[in-house]
Amino acid sequence: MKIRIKVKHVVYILGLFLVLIVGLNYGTSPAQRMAEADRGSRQADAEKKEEILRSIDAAKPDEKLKLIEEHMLNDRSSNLPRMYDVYIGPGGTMFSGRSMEVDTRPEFNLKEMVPYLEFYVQSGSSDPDVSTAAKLLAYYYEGSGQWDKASQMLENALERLHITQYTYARNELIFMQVKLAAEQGQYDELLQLSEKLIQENKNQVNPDTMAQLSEYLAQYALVKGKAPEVLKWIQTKMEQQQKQTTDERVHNLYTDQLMEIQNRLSKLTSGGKKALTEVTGTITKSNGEPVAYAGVFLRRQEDDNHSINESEPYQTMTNEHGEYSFEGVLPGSYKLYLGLNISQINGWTWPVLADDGWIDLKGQAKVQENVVFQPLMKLKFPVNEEVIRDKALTFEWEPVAGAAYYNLNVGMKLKSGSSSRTVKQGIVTSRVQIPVQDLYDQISGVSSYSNGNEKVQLDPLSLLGYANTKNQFSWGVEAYSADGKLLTRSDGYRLSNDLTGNLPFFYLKERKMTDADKTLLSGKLDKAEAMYKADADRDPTDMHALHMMLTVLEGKMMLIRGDGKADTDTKKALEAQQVEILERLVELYPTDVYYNWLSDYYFKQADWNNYNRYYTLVKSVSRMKDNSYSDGKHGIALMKQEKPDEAAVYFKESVENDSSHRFIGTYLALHLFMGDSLDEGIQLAAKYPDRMMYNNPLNWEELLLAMKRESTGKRDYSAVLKDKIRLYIQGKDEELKLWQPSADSGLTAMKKFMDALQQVG
Amino acid sequence: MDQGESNVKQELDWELSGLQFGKQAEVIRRTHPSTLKDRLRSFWNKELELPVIPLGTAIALLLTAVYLYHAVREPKQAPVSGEAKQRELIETGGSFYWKDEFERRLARIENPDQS
Repeated sequence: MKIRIKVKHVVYILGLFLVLIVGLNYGTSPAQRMAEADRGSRQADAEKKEEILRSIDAAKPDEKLKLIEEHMLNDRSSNLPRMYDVYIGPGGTMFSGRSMEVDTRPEFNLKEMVPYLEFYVQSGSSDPDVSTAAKLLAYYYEGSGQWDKASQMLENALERLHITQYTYARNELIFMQVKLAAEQGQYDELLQLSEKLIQENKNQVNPDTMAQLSEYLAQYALVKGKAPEVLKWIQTKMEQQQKQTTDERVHNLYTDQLMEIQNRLSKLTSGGKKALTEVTGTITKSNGEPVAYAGVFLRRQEDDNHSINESEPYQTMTNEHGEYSFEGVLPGSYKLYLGLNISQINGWTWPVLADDGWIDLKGQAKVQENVVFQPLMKLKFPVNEEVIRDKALTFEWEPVAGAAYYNLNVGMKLKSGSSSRTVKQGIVTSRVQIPVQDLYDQISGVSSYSNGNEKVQLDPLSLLGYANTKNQFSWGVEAYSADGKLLTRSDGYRLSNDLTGNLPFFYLKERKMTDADKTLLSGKLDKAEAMYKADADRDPTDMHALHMMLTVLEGKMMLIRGDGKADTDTKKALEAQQVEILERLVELYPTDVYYNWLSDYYFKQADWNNYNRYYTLVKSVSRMKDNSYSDGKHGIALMKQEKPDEAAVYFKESVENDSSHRFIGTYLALHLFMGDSLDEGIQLAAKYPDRMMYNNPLNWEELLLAMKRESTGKRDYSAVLKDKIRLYIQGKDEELKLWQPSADSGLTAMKKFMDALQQVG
Repeated sequence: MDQGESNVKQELDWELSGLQFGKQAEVIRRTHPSTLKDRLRSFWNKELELPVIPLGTAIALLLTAVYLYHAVREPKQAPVSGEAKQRELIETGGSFYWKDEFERRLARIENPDQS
């Protein structure tokens, strides 16, 4: 079978096909199409929500309850520490218990749910979901200032819940009532509710209840000056409960808890009546949009090292306008944390650094703490796995209005996780060129890993660092104002197509990997080390081989975990080898990384001539803007060289620029040594609280207060103190360790101070 | 020629006597094109005789091949949100992304020719 067709018709048909193909493939760019899909899914979400609401409205009462449960209450927690997708604070970001999985069902905000939740509380059966609904409503009404309505909702829900069947859900409701009463300053009601709570729990073992309750009661005790009575009350109640339990473990738990509560209360009430503070603020985005119904947590310093839990006392929710408030907060150091749903933080960042954001309450009447989210920065180059083959690497990003300078971070993938470090600070333009050699010289934190029961191994990726042409690298920037405040950053939640456009990944293929590199990557550390050595012997100017020898030695030192004599000697020998290599390296390519290393080494050796030489060299080539650490360290070096006046200048500079005030201890010692009184020291310690050891908070102010107490009546106290500080200055650490004043010597606080001093740095 | 045929002929001659054929040149130009334009036009209107079965088979094979090629190389589309209740997040290079979207984006960067 054949068909007859004219050439022109063949051409017309082909033309038509071509138009169709081009039209389908290139009519819209992939990015455009993705963005459309995004808008589409948002629209779909809104439609789905409306559809759900319509079906609830149209349903019969029984069916209605079921639908409300299904769409608004199931799997939803009314506990703020578990309600949100993510929790962020100055210390970083964390997920709620559900790992990295996020619910993508259409999300109702609290306001949309209110009429349905009210219906549920009014008509729902005896079910823990009633408690969830009532608590959510209580947060809503509390936020809009309708306290009575909030407490009425809780009361209604309590009536619905069976008294013995749902003790836990009932407890939660009563706790919420306690919280409302405490915030409203209705202390009679607070006591009544506390009694009610204990009555309800008399057959149940729940030591946490007392811990939580005691926090609210402490507020009452402080305001009314009734600490002894309250303490007595808690004690009696706890002892009663303790008697009822036969489980020895629970019994001990009670004892511990009671001790803890006693300690806290007596500490808080030691200075007599203390004023409480009202902490208020708003959470908004820089475009003015409020962050509504977000979780707000005012966390105590001692809670900063664990994830948020229910027993922490100050937890609330923002209202429709993004406003929050905590009434009656006890004195202390706090940090603000937020609970957010993905859609609230996507594309935005809360610009706050780990060491910043401390809220110190000392009985001020009011403190305002506002949070403003800023849009994430946009990165331009290198992105999307660009391959860099030049000798220098140019980074470029979109400038931020009001930014005085930027800090550049570069990171790499490791066997387990990733590492990142700041490679340049104080960049004044939105574009910077970094010689690739400067990246090769970075020591990116040698890390190790182990698979199950296997021996701990060094991660070759961390050893080879940026010289690895096969590893994927990433980067990010932070923008700062002239006074050093973080304005915004590029790292954050990028969960829609317009935000994933430029992925900040690149490869460095400027150099070729040597055989030694390949051997190292295959995991043969010793063989690779020998090969690097051979390379360096063959060509004494082979910087890469020298640098790798240095890094491998660093890794070997890391694997030595013991601190016995043999281990210490091995470490010393390895360090001496490193110094030899470093001295060759700085001849070839002087950078602050190597100079810093040498100055640190000589610092530890107390070889001040060499230390001073390398310190000066570090300063001459440094690319860092924040010198608070090196200033503090240099302060110690000068102190130990018996140059107290110069040391004071550096310490001052350090504590003023470092929000963690990590060198305050040595600064205090210097002041006391130079003849300042303990009172002057106390003032200084109060001005610069130590935030460095927050896992084991070191309160220098309290330490000095204790010293002051033990110094009363002792004329030679300050002379003894000066003698001990002199031992520290002269590096006679062993002698200091041997000094063990007995408990009745009246020098225990001083001993504590000296021990703490040796930990600074 | 018998009488009947002769009559028809006469009739035809008479009826066609008003018609004059004046396009001889045009016909010659089309049958024997000499200028470039004429030759192009003749090619444009040339009739091709194409065998249906081999040609149809070839086109069908080509379409199948193209379809399979795309089906294999195209990463799986993410399920439309709303259908999947949970979506996984990953942290990489300092930021958080939807895992499925991130992988799709990287695949596209690594194979830019596919859409």
